[in-house]
Amino acid sequence: MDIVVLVKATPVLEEAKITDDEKNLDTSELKFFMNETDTYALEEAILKKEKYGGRVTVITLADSEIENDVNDMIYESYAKGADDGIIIEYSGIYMDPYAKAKIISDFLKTIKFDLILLGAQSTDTSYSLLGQLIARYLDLPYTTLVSSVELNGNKLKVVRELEEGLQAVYEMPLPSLLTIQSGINTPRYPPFVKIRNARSRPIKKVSIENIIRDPQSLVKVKRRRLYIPPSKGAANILKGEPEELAARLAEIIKGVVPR
Amino acid sequence: MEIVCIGEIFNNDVGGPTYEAIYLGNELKREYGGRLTLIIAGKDLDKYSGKLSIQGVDSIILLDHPSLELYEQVAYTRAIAGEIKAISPQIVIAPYTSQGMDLLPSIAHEIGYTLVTYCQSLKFTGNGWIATRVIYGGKLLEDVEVDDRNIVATIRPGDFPQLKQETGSISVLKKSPEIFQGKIRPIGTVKPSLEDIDITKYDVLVSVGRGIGSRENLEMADELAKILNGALACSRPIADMGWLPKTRQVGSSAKTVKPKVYIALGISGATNHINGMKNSNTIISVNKDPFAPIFEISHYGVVADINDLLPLLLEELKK
Amino acid sequence: MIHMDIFTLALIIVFATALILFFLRIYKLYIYFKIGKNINRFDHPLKRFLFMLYDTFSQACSRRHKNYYPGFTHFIFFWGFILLFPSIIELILGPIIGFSWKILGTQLYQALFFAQDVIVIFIVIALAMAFFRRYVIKPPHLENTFDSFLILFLVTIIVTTITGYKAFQIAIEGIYPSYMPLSLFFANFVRNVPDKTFWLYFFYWFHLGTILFFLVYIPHSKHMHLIASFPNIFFKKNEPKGKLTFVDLEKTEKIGANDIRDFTWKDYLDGLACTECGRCTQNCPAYQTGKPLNPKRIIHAVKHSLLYNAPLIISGKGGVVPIISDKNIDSMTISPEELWACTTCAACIEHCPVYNEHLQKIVDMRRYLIMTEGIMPPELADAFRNLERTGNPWGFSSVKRGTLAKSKGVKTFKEQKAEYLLFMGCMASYDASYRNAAESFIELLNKCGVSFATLGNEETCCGAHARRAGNDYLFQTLAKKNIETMKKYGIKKVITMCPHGYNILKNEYPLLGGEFEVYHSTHILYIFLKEGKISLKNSGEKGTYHDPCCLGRYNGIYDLPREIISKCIELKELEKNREDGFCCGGGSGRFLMEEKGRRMNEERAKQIIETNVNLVITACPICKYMLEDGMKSLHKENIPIKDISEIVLKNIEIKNLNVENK
Repeated sequence: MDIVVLVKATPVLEEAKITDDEKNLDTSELKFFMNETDTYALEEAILKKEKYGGRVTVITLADSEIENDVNDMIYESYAKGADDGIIIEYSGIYMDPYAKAKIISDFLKTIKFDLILLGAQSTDTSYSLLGQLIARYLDLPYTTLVSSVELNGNKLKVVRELEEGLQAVYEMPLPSLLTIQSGINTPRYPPFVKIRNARSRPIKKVSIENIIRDPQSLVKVKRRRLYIPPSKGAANILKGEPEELAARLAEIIKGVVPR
Repeated sequence: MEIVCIGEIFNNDVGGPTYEAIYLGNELKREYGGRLTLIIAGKDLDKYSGKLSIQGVDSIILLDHPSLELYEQVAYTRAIAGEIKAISPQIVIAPYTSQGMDLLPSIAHEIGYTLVTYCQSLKFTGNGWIATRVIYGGKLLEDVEVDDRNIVATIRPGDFPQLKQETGSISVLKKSPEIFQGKIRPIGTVKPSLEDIDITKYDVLVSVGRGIGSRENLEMADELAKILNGALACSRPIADMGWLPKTRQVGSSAKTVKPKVYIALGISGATNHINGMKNSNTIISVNKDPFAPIFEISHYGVVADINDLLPLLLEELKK
Repeated sequence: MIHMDIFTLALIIVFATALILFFLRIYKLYIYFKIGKNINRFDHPLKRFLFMLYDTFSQACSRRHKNYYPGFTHFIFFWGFILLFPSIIELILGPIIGFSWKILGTQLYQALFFAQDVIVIFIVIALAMAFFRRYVIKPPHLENTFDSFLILFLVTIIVTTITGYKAFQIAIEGIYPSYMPLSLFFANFVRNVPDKTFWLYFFYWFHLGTILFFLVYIPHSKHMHLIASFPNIFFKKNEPKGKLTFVDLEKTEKIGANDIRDFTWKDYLDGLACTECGRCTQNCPAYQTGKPLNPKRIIHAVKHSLLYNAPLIISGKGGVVPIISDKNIDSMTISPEELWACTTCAACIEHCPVYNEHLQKIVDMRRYLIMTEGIMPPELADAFRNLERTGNPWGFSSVKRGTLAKSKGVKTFKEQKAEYLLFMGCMASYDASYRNAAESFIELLNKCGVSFATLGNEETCCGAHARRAGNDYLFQTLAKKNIETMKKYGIKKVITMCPHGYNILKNEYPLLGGEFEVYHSTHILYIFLKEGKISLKNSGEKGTYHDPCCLGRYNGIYDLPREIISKCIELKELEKNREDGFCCGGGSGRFLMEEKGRRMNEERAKQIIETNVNLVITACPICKYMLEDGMKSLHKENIPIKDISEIVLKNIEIKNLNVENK
């Protein structure tokens, strides 16, 4: 089973700094790592490869400004067991999920695959939309928030996570696209030796202009402004020694808990 | 303005977020005038029409068919999209629940509208729409713009109030739509295997997150819950690790709770979690990180190491 | 002139055979040794040699750490062997070439034989003590194996037979040598035994046979210790105890150890020098709290793995068994569970009489698991991920790292250069339990006018726990970042409050090009005291001091903190103190991990409670955290754990306060 895993490099953001045009995040001092739910998607792909054979291709769409971190992300994927890595590179363009989906879909038309996996949501722009759009553009069946995937012959048995602990079970054909929810597996910690070996492996780089001439024209949801939310004012924060905190907290709790 | 809200039947009841979508629809109707139509798909929907007769809803369309008993993407999409196309609304509002996340991109694609997800506010400019979105885990906001008079906007469950002001008769139209079969075959819904309690029914919840540290502390948290006649709940990482069943997970994508007292132990405050409990009467959070986001929505925040505090707290309460 | 008769012929054949068998085995072991990695321990050969002579001949090695009982018996056995050895030479070479110790001259000859008789008496006493200890007292860490019985049995035979031989020799010669009191005593009993010659030959062959049997047997058993201990002491590690080997991340093909060939010839020698005394295990805090870790087993596994796998490797046959395995294969494997249980407290290497290096082997195997296989306990994986992303093991915001220091008005090097860097460390920066201690130390630095600043948010974790846990890649990434920042500001002198940080900045940052003058807070407080910058009043409180492993065993700092503390309180020592200190259980990342079964910190808390003190002082944030947790588990929160800075600040005598001092 040949699997494509779409991943995104997202930043560890502690104190956000915004560019002067108020449109972008200042990434100069930020470090980027693979988006959390994408790590689960990648791990699922590797597990399937270990069980059923096939190839795992990791594809990411990334700004060349964070090239080093993105390369590291691909090397880490190799270290975990991915076979091929492709970076679709762009520079300084703002793209929404529609533009990204179109570009990735067009690129995927040139690749052979049985299954596409990606994380259900990114920790940065959090649209939870990219996978679904790609699936519609490629006319693939898709489902979201997958918490379990099994191969039955040439069909998939897929479990979706619903609210309140419920789950919905589906049978899906191949090829299809799944967006993966966290907790589906335990992503492995890539050993250094494998990362070191991975660094000598090639990463295919594709320039975005080779796919679409004018990517910005595909944007449907434009960003007008990026800003820091006003601080809501912290609650009544108690600090001190555990003993006195415990006593005060017990008083507070006794005061609010119904008898 | 022609407004359509798409509702959802969840676990044999009208899903709570449906009311949030209606709330937002009402806000827009108040601002821009017009009509609000509510569309729901499923089976045996008659019994819900009373609950769906909410103040501000002008008409309800029930797409009722045995094949719609279980959610299936293509059938739901074609059925609902068909209705929407007939109405030709300017905006379609729907909650981005688990089902919504699956369905709405498909509907938007089908009707040719642009979809903006997790909108916290919406403004119509005459030529298009401006929405505000919370991103980067709550650390940033963005204002986005769609240059199209028609959009689909989804909301994060918990962002809006669930107003359930029922009103008198609203026009309810029940239709049996044409069923289109997709390639995905629903097999069924699985209830959680363990006989577990319903945390939404408790007045007091003691909720644990990653910061709980050890399983011993988990047991102490359980003891705390028992002393307070409450129940033990958790955030996503704890359920993912299997320390507690998924039925105990609090979050807009899991269970939304509104207890009288919500005590969060070692929870940092991811957006989905906060949305699942922020309407609790009194929120008390304990975390050793003084900058944990959960403190921003807590009534009382305690900066302490749970290993130190919990046993002492139990002792104090037992006195 | 060789007297050739049946007897002499037999003697030559037996002796030659024994020698040949012995040397064949030694040669085989030498061939086995060659499959391992090399290590350079040939520096300062004279110094090494002299130390070896001192340590072995004074038997300080076996006596160390209050081991007076076995120290005494071993002293006797050691000197017994040395003094009786001339007899064997005479017994063998005498018949062949007519050699006799009489060439020493009457006085020395008589002195030698007198000493031999005396030592035999002591040997008998030592044997009785040894049997009693092994089979009546039965210390749990001491395994009673066939080999351990055999040596005591053989020594019994040897002293019995040599005495018997001498007795009959005296009886046959009809002499009354007063310089051989013991042999004379027995000789007097046998003067009238008929056919004494028969008994002479009997004891002769019995004695010689036993010794030659033993000679051949030595290199096949733990008794190889007799030979290997000398070179093992010669080749011992002379660097700071806790210092680990450098990992060249780019050039090292295989990182870590899971195959016998990944160890060095010194590791193999450790196995041969080990006499299974069990002191490493006896003092291991993990073992004492019921964890599967047994340091003696680590040494053994390497030895057994060598003996099993070396022939397979040399002959090119397959079937080599790796050393890390969940299944205990013929005691030549170690399980990952044992490896993770170690806190790298160095009690094992401190107590080993022959300076075996258990610690490095454990870390090398951890390095294999983490850096080659990616296997580790999940809490470690989480801590590593957090360190990679936010520079601290809990995932707290790196942007908030400088908050505590800033709140006390301490400037960062970015704002203002200073003479000393105060390296805060993760605990001082983020942990609520250490906040008061950190603030106390900062206050003391300010009061005494020290010019210091921090790195603020540019500081990242020192990497100590990552390195000791086995993730050297992460350590080097963190350390290189710190070194780069420190060099950027031209920092030369560093002060730390955490001994883990102190140890790694001082002893291991130089491996990566970071050479700084590093002080621990106790150094600084001591200097303040000596220079009269602070004066302390004694509160009379009864307290004790818990030695942090990274200050104590790792770096030999035992007295400085005590000098300071004894001026503040009435210091009562714990039973397990100084080199015998019992680890709090937090080292090498264990303070972040779950501990099943009996907890080390609770065990230490129990020891403290038994000492009947009202106060515990330590000089390490990890120790403070772990001991506080231990006390709470035992519901003894009334015994506070204080950092040395807190006590000093509390007991400062105000009238001698020297405030304006720049």
